[in-house]
Amino acid sequence: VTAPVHTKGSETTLRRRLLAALCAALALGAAGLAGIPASASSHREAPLISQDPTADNTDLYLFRDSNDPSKVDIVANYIGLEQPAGGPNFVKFGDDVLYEIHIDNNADVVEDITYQFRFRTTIVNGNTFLYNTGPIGAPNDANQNIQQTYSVRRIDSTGSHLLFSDQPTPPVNIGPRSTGGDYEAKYVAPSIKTLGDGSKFFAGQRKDAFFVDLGSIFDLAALRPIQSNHLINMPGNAPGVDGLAGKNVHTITIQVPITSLLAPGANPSCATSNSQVNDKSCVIGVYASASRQSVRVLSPQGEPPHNAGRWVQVSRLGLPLVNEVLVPLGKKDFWNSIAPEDDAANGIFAGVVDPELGRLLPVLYPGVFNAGGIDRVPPAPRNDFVAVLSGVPQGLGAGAIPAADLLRLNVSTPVTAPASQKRLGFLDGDAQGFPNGRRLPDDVVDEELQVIAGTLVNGGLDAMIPGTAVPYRAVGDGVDHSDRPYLGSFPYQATPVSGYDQPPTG
Amino acid sequence: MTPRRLRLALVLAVPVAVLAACSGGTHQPAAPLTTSAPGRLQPAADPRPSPRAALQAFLEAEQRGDHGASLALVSSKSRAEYPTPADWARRRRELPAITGFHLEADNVAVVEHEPGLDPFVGLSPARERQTWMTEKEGAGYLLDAQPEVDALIPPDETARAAALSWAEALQACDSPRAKALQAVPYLFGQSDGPARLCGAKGEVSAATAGRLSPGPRSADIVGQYGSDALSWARTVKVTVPGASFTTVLAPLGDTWKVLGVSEP
Repeated sequence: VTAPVHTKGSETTLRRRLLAALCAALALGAAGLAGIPASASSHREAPLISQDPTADNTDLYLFRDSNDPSKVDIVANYIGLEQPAGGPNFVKFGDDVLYEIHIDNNADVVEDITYQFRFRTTIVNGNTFLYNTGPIGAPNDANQNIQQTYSVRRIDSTGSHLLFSDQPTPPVNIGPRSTGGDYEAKYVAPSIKTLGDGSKFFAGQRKDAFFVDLGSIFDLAALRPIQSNHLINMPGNAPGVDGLAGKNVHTITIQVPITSLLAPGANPSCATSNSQVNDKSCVIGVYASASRQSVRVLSPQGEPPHNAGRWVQVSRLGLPLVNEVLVPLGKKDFWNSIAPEDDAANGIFAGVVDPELGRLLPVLYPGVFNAGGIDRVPPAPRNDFVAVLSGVPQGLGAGAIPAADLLRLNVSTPVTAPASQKRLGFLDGDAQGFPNGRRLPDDVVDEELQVIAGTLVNGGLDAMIPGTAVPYRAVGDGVDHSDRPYLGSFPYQATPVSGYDQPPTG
Repeated sequence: MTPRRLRLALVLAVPVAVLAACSGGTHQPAAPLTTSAPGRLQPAADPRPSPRAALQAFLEAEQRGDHGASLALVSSKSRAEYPTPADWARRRRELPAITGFHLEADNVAVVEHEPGLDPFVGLSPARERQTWMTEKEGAGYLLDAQPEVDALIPPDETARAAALSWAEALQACDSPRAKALQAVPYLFGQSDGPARLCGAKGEVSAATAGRLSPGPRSADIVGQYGSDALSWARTVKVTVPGASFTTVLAPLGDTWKVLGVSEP
C-alpha cells in the first residue's frame, strides 16, 4: 500500500478506508469470529458463563491508590450489562456463589493470598412484592425489604482469617423516591468496611467502568466513526457509541496496604520507594474468580434449590480480553474452570504466541496487513506478547517472571496523577498504566488491538503500519472513556445509574 | 523498562521469530510461557509404621498449617481426588482450622477448633470426633482423606434454655441482650412472633429441642452453612399467650445461640 495519506488528523477517504478495514478486522477478530454471544472485557465471554451472569467476572482492575500510595486497590466486577431498571427483583450478588480475589506475590503464578466473599440475602417481609416499602434512609433500614450482607475471609501463609461478617451492601439505585438524595453519602459511605490496618472493603452496585463500542463491533465488526468504509458499506460515519453507557455492574472493591500483599522477605523498598524498584518481589499478580457448588437440586414445589458439594470455579479473569480474543471457543469454558498455573499444561498459551487474530488480519484485510504481498502483522511466535506478559511493563527484564494470565502490578511504580494519566497507559509512556496493573480509565481495548497489530515490534504508537500511512495509535473502537466520570475516592467507580434514570433503549 | 526499551529488545528477538516462522517453526516460544508450577508437584508419600503414627503425624501437620506434609500422609486412592497440592490445600481450607487434638484410639481423634460459624467453613465446633480409615501402602500406613466426623455439641436441653433466655430478653424489650444471644445479627427466616414479644404479657415457654428438617424453612441456613446444618442445628418452639414461633439454634462453643426464626 502506498497510500497518499499523510499528516496526523488528515481525513482523506483512503485513510478512512484503511482505518475502517484495519479496525474492522481487529474488532472482528476480537469478536472471536466464532459466533459467540456479545462480550466486552469479559462480559458473557464464554458459552456456559454467559448463561450465569451472577457468577460472571466482567472486569478486573489493579492500581496503586492515587490518594494513599501506601495502598493498592483491586476492583473485581461481576454481573455485566446490568439494566438499572431491574425491578421488582433487582440484580444482586449470588448467595450461592463464592467470589474470590487471588494474589500471587512471589511470581510463581500460584496464589499466595486469597480474599473470599460470601453474600446473604434477607427478605424482611415476604408478603409484599416491593423491594422497598418506602424511601430507604440507610443500608438495610426498615424500608429496605430485600437486604444483602456479606462476609470476607482472607487466606494466607498464616492461615485463614474471617475478617468480618454481616456487612451491609447498599441498596441498588432504584430512583429518586426510593434512593433519592446523595447516593454516595447515604448508602455507599456507610457500607464501606474499614479494618484496623486501614483496609477498606466495598461490595455493591456501581456504574460499569468499562467502555467499548459493543453494538458496532458485533455488527460484523463495524466501527461507527468510519463505518462508511466498512467492507459492507454503510453510508454516514458516526461517533463511537459506548455499549456499556448507562449500564451498571456489581463490584467487589478492596483497598489494602501494599505491605499486606507482599511476600515475607520482599524488598522493603517495594512499599516505600518513590521510583520503580527493579525487583520481582515488588510485583503482584492478581486474578478474580467465581465458584459454585458442584451439585444443585431443584425442587418441584418452588422451594429454593439445594446446593451441595465442592466449590467449582465457573469464571475467572486476570488480564482483560484473554478469554475473548486468545482462547478458542472450544476451550473457553474449560479455561474458566482452571487456575492460571494450569494454563500452560493445558495448552492455553498456544493462542498467545500464535493468536488467531494475528493470522486473520492479512487474510481479511490484505490491503493493509498484506500490503505488497507481505504479511504486516508480526509472525508467530509473538515474542512481544511474551515479553509483555513476563515482566517488561513491571520494569523488569523480559522473562524475569513467568508469562501468565495474571493482572500484574509493580507496586513500587509511582502513581501517575489522575490528570496526567494516559488512556493508552504503558504503551504511551505512562508507567503506571495497563498492562502494569489496570486503572479504570485505561483503554485496554485500544491497547490490545494496537499490540496485536504490532505496535511494539514496529516502532510504537506513532509509527505507521508498514506499507501504509496509518499510525498504530489510530487503531481503536472510537470509544475512549466511560460515559460517567469516576469518583475521586474509594470505591472509585461511578455512582450506579438509577432505574428511574435509565437511558431510553430506543 | 519503557516501551522504547522494549522495542529495542524486540529488535533482536523478532528477527529470530521471523526466521523461525519462515522455516516452519511457528510455535517456538522464546521465553517460558508460564511457571514450572511447583504447586502442581505432588509430595512423595510418607507412610508411617502404624495407623496411630500416621494419624498423629497428619493432625500435627494440619495443626501447623502444613498442608504439603499432610498430603504426604494421604493414601494414593485419596490423592487421586486432589490432582495438585493446591487442590488439597483448598479443600483443607474449607474445613475448620485445627487448634489442638488428642487420640482416643489408633484411628480416632478428638480435634479442637476455635468455635465459630461462617459461610466459608460452616460450623467450627469447639470439638469433634474424627474416625479415620487407614490404608497399608508400601512399608507403612496412610490415611483416607475423608474421616467420619461427629461434632461434639452442647446437650439439646441447653438449646431449649438458650431459646427461652433469648425470648425473655425480647419480652423485656432488651434488644442488646437478645442480640448477644444470637449467632448472627440478622436472623434467618421470617416470623412476626419475635417482634410481638416486646412487652407481651404472660409467661414465655419453650418446648423440647428438635432437629432442623430439610425444606424451605432451612434452605437459607443450609445455603449459607452447608447441609451439615441439618445435623447440628436445633429447633425450639417458643410460646407466649396468643403467639408462638420456632427458633433455630446453632452450637457455638459450649452454648447455643439463636440463628433463625420461623412460623411454628
